[in-house]
Amino acid sequence: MSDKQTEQGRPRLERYKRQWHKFASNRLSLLGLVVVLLLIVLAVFAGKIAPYPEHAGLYLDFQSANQGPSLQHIAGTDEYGRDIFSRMLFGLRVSLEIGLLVLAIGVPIGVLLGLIAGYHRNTWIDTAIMRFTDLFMAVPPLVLALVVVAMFTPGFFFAAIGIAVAWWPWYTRLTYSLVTSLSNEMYVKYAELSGAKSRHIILKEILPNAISPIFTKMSLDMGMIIIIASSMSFVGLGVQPPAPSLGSMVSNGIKFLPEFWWIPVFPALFVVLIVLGFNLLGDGLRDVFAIEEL
Amino acid sequence: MSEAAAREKILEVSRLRKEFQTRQGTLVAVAGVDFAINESEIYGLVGESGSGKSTVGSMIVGMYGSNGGEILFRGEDIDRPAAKRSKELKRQIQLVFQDPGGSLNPRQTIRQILALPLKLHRGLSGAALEEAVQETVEKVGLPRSYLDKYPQAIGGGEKQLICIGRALAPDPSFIVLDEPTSALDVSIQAKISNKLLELQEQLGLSYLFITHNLCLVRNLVHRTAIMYLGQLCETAVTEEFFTHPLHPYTQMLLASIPVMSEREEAYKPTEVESVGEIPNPIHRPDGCGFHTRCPLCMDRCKTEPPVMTEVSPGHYVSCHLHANIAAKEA
Amino acid sequence: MTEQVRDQQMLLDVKDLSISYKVYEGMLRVLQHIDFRVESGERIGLVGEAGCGKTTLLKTIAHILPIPPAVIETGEVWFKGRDVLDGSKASRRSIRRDVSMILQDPTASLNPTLTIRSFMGDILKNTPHPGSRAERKQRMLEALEKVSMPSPERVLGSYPVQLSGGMRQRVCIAMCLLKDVDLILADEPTTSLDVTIEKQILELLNTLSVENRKSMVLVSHALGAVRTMTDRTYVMYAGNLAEEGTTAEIFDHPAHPYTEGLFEATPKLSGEGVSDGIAGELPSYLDPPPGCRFMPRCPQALGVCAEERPGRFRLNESHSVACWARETGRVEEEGNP
Repeated sequence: MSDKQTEQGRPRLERYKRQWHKFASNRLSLLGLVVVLLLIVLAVFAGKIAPYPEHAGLYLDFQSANQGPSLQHIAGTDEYGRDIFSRMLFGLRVSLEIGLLVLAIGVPIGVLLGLIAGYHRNTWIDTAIMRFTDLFMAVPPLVLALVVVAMFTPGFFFAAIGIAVAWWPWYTRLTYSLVTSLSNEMYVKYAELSGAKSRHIILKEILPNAISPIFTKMSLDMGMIIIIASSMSFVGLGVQPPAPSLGSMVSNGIKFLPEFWWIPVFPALFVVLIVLGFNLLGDGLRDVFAIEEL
Repeated sequence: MSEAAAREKILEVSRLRKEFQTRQGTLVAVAGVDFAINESEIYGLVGESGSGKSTVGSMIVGMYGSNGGEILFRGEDIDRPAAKRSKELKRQIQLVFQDPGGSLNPRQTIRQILALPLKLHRGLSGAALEEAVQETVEKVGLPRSYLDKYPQAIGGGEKQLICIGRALAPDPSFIVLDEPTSALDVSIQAKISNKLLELQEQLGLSYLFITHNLCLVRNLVHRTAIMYLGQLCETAVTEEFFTHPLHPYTQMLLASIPVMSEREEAYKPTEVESVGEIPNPIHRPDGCGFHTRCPLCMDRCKTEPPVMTEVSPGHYVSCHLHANIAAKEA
Repeated sequence: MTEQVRDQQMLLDVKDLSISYKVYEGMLRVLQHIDFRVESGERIGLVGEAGCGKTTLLKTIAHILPIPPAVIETGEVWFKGRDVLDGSKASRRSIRRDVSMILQDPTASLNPTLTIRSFMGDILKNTPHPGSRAERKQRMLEALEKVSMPSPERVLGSYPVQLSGGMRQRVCIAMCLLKDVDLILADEPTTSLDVTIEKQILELLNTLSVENRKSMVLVSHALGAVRTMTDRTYVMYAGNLAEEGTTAEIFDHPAHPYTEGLFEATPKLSGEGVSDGIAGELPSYLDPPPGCRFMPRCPQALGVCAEERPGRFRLNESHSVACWARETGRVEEEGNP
């Protein structure tokens, strides 16, 4: 069947519509999308939605400490009397911000290096970049991030830098293999034969065809990055108190198990929800783009 | 070349060789090939897999350089990769690939695809560029509305027309076409072939038409050449080539074509069996590459590679048997 | 399961088969009211270009059509007196046992991680009389010899990637022999092969089907192959049957304008120049025109062609065509458009 059979109207619009339909036909992917959108809304409007926004900072009220879930405090209060639900929302905002910052730093660096190495395949440039990449990949991401943070001061910004340092190599690897396989496409060869400049070939011929897998990976990575950020907070090298962080809420709350179970459990479940949402979304994206490539 | 002496040669290939290093050994893709194409001529290069015909085409357009021999374009030595060629040369020699689907970037519109060669080879931009793009798409017989479409939205035959348009855009004089219609249905092949003929006549272009389809070549090209395992076996004006095939391989190939009518059967050499398989080019037989399958194989064929001999005006054969006959008649 | 009393000569009987595919934009009407029969020992040619539905038809017969997204709108497929589409295990088994399909790309049909001996062994183990290991090996060697395979012993121990395209295709044919099927469906079996090898493989298929009295359906756009190797031929266009008849009739006196156009567009060895091809393009399968699907491209179109699908008109005993311009005696009533 020719693809002509099914394409009419404005071409780009048609393509997006078809991709959406493919995506939406999978319930789990839709669920992932809905969860992620909800989380974004919660994070952006945390200030308005949280019932006790001031609890996200310095706050003490021993009168209300360690109270179980109730109508006034949906997720209960912690040992300082702070509303856990409100802190969770601000913790969510921090997590998402870290995720975005890590991707914003790590992805462009990783992809750029991968593009250059892949395009200059089998030259010294390739070897230099890929071996450099291998070095970073040899160290487990969490450890690398912790090392970076330890070199500076713990806190939101350096935690993000630390994770970004651990993260970019994977994008280099991915981009490198994409570029290598795309370089064999006839339209790339044609551009080369015609004397197009490297910059044009990399940016106009190769990159647009490599974007989809990179995008998918970004979504799938969000979950992992948030877990790493939470782990760093868990060991105290991430976001510092009194700023709320899901990871530190869990680590501090563990000692209150099992009587005041709500203190660690709700934040932990929330992390699970966030990661699940991004993973489902990422899986859905991968399926959509994979079929389209065919 | 006695008969064609009056016409100018646009391309001359001499003793052309190409080898590739593989894990199993050296693959001799092209083992010493000589031929010439005249101005405004369509030259058909026929062969099966392993013949080296695509490799010859690739060297002419500059995908890579050779390992020996010469390629002259209007007298100028062009045997080197495209990156090392002059802009003018790159403009003059263009290429149309086999698979139209893979030759067009799925993320670019037709307009962008056609604009690239115009920008690179003719330095156009702005309004002049837009005008040239529209002219190109009309030249191949497609409507202007196609410019905004993506390649996936148009059919195989039309994609190939775009590829042809892309090759014509720089205003070249020589186009290498590597199996341009093989991936298309018969009814569409005819349309594309027609368009190619029309454009060639209109613009005085020269084509190197590479294909395995003998029937197509019979009706489309002025002169025909056939390759086997990296060697050129026979070349002649098309009519002569098909009515008086001399090389045993040519005969075997012609005898193997399934044809549609009794009338065509009459044009096939009779009593020629198709035997054996094409040897692995990495383990080329010594002497004449075809000797392992040749019903007329002599001792000499097993050790000594044959030389291209003019057996009758314009008709060249690379075969010891025919060289002997020609020598005797001389 | 009524009508087991079908004519035992009739190996395969496809009646009024219509199939659509569900896609995002709607339903693609891929096959329309196809009638197709193969008798025991008959060799049938199926001619048509890309998109005409021939592969869909073969896949339906071989029971490998993916049912969603495909939808069988109407029709029946009877194989050896059994309704193949009834979904029962017994009919599936019947097809798997007695029908074999040879695909265009032999590389795709052969698992690259198994030796040839493994494939053939698997097939033999599933036959009624597997025999001992030595017996099986003997049968494998015999099958390979029948297909003129050079050095069969070495081939048995090889992996598909070590064999050439022609040899792989011979292996597929040998597997059909081992399985002792009644019907071989060959979908463009030689398209990916060189011309000289193509001739050998086609001759091989021919000999085998004749010698072993196996029925064969040969789908090929190499019209010459169809001409020399088949008894009857069907011509398909855009999911419809354009014409059917004995191969000699179809090639010497093509009746349908599409068939005429197709033959004319094929470059001839006799050097008659390049034809203009057939103007126009395939119609939309999503929203097919009510009348004849070929009408927009047909040089002999009549008014009625745009409004009503042509029925099958019998030209003579061995030749019928679906074309208003050739209307003579109407064969039978078909489903309405």
